[in-house]
Amino acid sequence: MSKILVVDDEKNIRLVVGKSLEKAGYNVDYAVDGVEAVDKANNISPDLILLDLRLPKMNGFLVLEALKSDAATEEIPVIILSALSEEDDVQKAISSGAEDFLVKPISQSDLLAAVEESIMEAGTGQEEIEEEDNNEK
Amino acid sequence: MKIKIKTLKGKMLLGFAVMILILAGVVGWSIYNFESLSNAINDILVENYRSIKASDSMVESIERQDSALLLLLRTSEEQGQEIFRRNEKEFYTWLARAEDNITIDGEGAILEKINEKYFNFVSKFDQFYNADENQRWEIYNQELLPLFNEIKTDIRELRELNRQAMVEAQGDANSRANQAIIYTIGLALLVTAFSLIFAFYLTKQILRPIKELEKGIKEVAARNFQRKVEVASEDEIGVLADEFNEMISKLKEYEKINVKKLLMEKEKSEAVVNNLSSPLIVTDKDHKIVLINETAKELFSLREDVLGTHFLEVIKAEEIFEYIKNPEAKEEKTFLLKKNDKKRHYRISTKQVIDEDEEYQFTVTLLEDITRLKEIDNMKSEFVSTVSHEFRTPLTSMNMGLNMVINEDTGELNEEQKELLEAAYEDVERLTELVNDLLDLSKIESGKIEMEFDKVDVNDIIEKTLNPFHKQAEEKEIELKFKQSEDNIFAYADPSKISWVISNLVGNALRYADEGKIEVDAEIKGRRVLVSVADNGPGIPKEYQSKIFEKFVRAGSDKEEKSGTGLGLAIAKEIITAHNGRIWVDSEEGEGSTFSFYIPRYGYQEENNE
Repeated sequence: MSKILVVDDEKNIRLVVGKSLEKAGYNVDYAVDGVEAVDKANNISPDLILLDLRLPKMNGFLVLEALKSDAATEEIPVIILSALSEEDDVQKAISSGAEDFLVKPISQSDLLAAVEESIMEAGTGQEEIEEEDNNEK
Repeated sequence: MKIKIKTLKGKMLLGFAVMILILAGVVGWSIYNFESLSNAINDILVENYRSIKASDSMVESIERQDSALLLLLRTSEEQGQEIFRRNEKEFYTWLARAEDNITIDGEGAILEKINEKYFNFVSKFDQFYNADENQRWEIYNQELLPLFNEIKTDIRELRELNRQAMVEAQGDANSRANQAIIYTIGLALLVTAFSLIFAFYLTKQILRPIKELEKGIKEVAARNFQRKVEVASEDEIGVLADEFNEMISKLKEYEKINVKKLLMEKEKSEAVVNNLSSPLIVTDKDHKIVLINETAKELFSLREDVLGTHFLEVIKAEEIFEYIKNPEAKEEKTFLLKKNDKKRHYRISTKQVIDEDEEYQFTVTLLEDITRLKEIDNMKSEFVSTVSHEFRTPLTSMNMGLNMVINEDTGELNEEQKELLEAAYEDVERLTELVNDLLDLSKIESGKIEMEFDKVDVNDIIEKTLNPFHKQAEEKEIELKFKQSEDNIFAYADPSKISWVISNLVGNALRYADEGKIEVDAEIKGRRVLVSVADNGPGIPKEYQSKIFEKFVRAGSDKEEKSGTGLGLAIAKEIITAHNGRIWVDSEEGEGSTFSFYIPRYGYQEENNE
């Protein structure tokens, strides 16, 4: 069962997004700010991170940068889920290594479709990583 | 002239009267001269002639008496005495006549002498008559003959005297006649000269005030009201001059008031213009600067004397000049100009001022500094954007939460619950749409959305845009028709934005119409492409037609389920404006509406900003 880390400072978003994903059969964990997001990404090694851009302590772009610059987390696919929709923001996120950019508000079906796609895509490479992980262990 | 003659008529009559008087004087004097001359001649002739006649008669008488004496000497007694006595009587008659007619000095003395000698002669005759023959000879020879000769000599002297007097008188008459001629000529000359002088004087006297008046009128015609006409005379011209002066002073007063008013107006408008915080330039029909205020000078950093120079000569802003040059059909335009090294936005507006005779034609150009407005507008966009963003997060949880509940992921719902939640979900979707539209609009307004212009097949775009609407139209039993009356229509546009506009217009038409038809068409109109969406729906009331392109303006009676966000047409307008095009609506209430827009035709985009 794939594990998804939902990063959002908004309690309600965490709730509905989390519930939606759980109902769809995913394992969900949460982070409420940027620092926690980076910590959890390292600790629980999620299969996918849903990342908000406007976050306390450390904003989404910095989180993305931190994740992608750390070998331990750089392979984790990141989907941005933000209320920001400026062209600049999208470009910046994509070039920083984000898998997808979802603009709030988003319907449940669109969200699930994007998540599924990302996991499927990553799945092929994921196995390799898991193998490597196993070898190390 | 002691008597003051006041009228021009009087003056002229006086002039004529004086002339006639002088003429009469000359004529009278001439008549008098001729008269006296003729009298003089008469006198001479009558008097002296008489004396001469008397003298001649006396000589004749005395010669007869002498003959009588000789008769007596030859014995003819009777006959001799009778002749003597008769002639004696005759002699005395003529002598008496001569004595009555003494006119010359010395004539009296001669006559007295003759009288005395003749008395002697007659006395001697008595002596002679009484004497005998011998004595008679003696007396005759001794006494009578010498006496006779003496008397004759005296008479001749008298005659000579008179003859001489006659000659003298003739000479005198001649000289008097000559004198009269000379005097008459002289007088005539004098009178002529005097008449000329008088006529000249009179004419001048009459004309001088007229000349004065003429000068005055010329001065007034040259708008000089300072000079008064000085006419001393009290005749008609004097009255005229007085009236004229009165008129001048009134004119002067009037002019003074007018000039004062004009000056006041001028100062007022100059004060207004100069204190105007917006740059203002007035140009004439040759685009020469007629008026420019301080703010404008500051903006274009101009020196003092730019009046009368061509606009482009001093203001190097061709864009603005182009705008001023074409006064017709203007759309609002803003320019970015540097002022004190800071870029500021100016909205330009021009006004044509044409006088009645179309003699002059001014263009008043006002540049309104709208930088602050722009800033506020940007702040507003920023604000709208922020607020919209802030809406998005709660909308997400609402949307997804409701969706999950409705999908019964969290347990079954009864029909009533489901219906209520679906209503809430529908409104969340509407709110989402509104937020998205608002963001789109603020992005376009702030220029954050880049237009991707390209060669675009307009028919193709319309066709593709209409595709998703056909089903909806069928359901509402509305005929959605693309006329496609022209082929190969290519525009210079951003295809996705134009598609969005068409989609919005068709969506609106479908939303407001219950039945009937919607016709979409595209045509080439010169340098532009015209796209129109016509429906025969309820139409738009006149008062809304100009407003519906503003934000949140909806026309007429929206039915609940038909409400849009109220931003669609505002966005459409922004998109079309960004294409340098124009969008408008023609509508008749109850008859339907036609929304039209034009965008530049491909290949003509360079010249589209006319």
